[in-house]
Amino acid sequence: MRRHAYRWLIVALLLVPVIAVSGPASFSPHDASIDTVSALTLDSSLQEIPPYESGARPGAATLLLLCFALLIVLPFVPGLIEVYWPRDRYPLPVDTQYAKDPRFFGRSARAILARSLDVDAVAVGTHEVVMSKPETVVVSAAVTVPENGEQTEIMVVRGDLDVESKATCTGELFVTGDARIGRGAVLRTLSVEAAVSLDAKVRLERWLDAEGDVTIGSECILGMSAATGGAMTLGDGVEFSRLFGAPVSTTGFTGDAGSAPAPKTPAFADVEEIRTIEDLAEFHRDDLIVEPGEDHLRPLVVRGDLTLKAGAVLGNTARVYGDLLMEDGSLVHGDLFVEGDVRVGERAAVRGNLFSQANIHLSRGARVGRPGICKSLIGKLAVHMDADVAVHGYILTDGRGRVSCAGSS
Amino acid sequence: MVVLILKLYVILVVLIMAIYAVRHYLFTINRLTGDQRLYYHDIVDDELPRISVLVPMHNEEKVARQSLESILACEYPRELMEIIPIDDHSNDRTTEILDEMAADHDVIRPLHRHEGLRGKPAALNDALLLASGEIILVFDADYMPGRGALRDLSISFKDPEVGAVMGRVVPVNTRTNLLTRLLDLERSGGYQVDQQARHNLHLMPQYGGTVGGFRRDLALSFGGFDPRVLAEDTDLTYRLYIGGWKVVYANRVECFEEVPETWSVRSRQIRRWSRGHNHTMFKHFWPLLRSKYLSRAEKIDGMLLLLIYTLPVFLFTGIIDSVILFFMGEMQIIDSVLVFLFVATYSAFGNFAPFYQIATASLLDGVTHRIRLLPFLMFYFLLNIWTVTTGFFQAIGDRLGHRRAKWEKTSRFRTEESA
Repeated sequence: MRRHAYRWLIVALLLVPVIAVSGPASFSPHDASIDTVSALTLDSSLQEIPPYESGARPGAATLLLLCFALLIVLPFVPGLIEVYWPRDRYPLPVDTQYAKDPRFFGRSARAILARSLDVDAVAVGTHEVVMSKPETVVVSAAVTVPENGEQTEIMVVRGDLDVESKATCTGELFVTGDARIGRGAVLRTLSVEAAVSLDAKVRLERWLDAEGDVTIGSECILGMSAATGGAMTLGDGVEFSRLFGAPVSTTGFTGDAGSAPAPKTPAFADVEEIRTIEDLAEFHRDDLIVEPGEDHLRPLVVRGDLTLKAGAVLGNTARVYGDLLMEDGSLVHGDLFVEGDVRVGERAAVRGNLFSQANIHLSRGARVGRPGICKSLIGKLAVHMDADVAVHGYILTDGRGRVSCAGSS
Repeated sequence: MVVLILKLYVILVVLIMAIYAVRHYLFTINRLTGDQRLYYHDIVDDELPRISVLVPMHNEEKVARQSLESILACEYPRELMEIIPIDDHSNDRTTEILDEMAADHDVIRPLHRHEGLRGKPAALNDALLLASGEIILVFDADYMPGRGALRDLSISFKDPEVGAVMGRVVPVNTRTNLLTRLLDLERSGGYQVDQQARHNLHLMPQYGGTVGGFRRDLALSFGGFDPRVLAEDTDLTYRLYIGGWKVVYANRVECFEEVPETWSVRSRQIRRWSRGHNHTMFKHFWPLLRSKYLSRAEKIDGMLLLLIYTLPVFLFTGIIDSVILFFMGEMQIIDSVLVFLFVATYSAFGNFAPFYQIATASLLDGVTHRIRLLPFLMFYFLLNIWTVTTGFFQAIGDRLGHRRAKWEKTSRFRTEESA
């Protein structure tokens, strides 16, 4: 109805000049000799027509006024319709309940399931429940999805789940025991309360969440997110977007070697001492190369590239505008915020967060974060991890995340 | 000679308007097609800084309880936070409400101010001395932060160069009338496009005084907020940039606010902003240009931002100038086809720039029907021309007369029922 009203109003407004042009009140037969276009463009010939003689002038003036009114009013017509018949008057949708949680998918899905079904008490069998929409949920004890089999319903498994090779599960899977997924299987989502093992070339279309340890085989594709409350091990060729684990490691990781505690950083007793950023941080307008043995205990701001030579140590956090190269065995005790590309060399370590607006490459033996403390590795464009890499906490990339153990030295 | 000056002034105004039109287009195109820099809210870190959340309140009995409850509902370790509602010379039930809330929640430590200067800068100064957090977050009394807002804002201070952070403000009372809907459009353009584009382009996102925060040590080292300045947020923004720190913009940290529902309240608000902003402009213009920490692009952007509340003044005086020239029969300003083309192009596309920016913001927000209201912004701009101009001359008066501007609180429209 509103759409029709809108159309009719536009048609009526467009008809105004037509009526004005063709209406007998505005034009006498003599008017036909006057070129309307000339009138509209105020052609100089019009100036020669004496006013009130031909009767054309009042008609042309009326036409001009109507056109002027039309052009003034027309842009406001859609707005007037929106004012009187609003379709979009509510505030922007702000999710006030949003809080960053790397295990959001699993927790939220389990909460939705728990609201609609008492998983522990409900009988084995098929149930029609309302989750975010009406769904069929199959509740069963331990399940095996056969090779090349297909599971389309949402499934709650009170026991262990085995998905054999090349099986496809398009419904969400909730598992209270362990889950073993065979080679080449395709899953939509997988929520597991114990451990998970994915064989090679498994593809997750959306997410995986587990309470126990997770082992990912080679060349798996991990969808939007893979998260666990335990440890996560990634095989060669795994592709990912978001990972969370304590830690997330790649093939070859056997544990963290103990490291020296962070050095004590200088404190400012009196705010009177602070005038510019140089009173709080080490400020470099150009590139900086840090050699082993140099003391850098204050936060570092580098407007160019930063290179940490092999064995060099930064005692605090750094902000880098260019690229960051951490050569083999170098160490940063704080966080790193980098605009450019980051390369973390072999056995190099960042004890805090590592954030880049570009690409991050972690070479063999690299470490990010420290055991028992959750930190983040964020590379906007890409994150590449070689073998024996460990990140304690969260990994995110908007671009391509990939493990490549074979290519690393 | 007079005619020549008048003609030169018209050319100057057209050039200034063209520069701002280009700025609008740059920001809009960046948001549509450019590289979007990430903010830090995706960082998950067990080690968070200690924060103090300040909420200045003057006669806020309608909103005080709801605002504090929203902050209490935020996810942040309780041992690392305190909430300091600042009862600033209230003579309604605000004082009692704050004491009741403090009795129920250890984390709430109200500051009652019934002596000394009234106003947000003075209130914040007193609270800064009381606060124990290394990071100060500020919310106005009518704001309702989301559950993750405290964490998402404070995480940015892990970056040692960040001096302040700013979240996004979203009007909540858009349904009320045409004005609230226009303000909603204006806010969208200002945050979704303008602030985010400046963040993307390494320019100068602005700290807006609420839904944001800053380092306590830095604010204290600057001597706190200048109680003579009505735009204490802009003042802090420029002090930080000039000193080498940055302000980051957190588009994802959205917070509802109430916008003025009457044109008279909006006029007073704009006039106050203009007066405060222009005061800041007089104060920081040269230090900004001389700062050794800013890039050339930052300086240009900072200068254009400082001058933003002089723009309506230029436009207003430019219109008067053209009218005078018209009646003097001196409208033939420059005989050049190129100049004609420039002016015609500006008329066709330049004037369209702010509308393009706001429409793009609506598009990015995924709401499109509201852009049908865009032409009505013309009336809103007309109001701005007058109020900003008067605010500008008040700021000149403040500057010349060394007078202290009186803080004027923006009226609240929320009723007990709607709260």
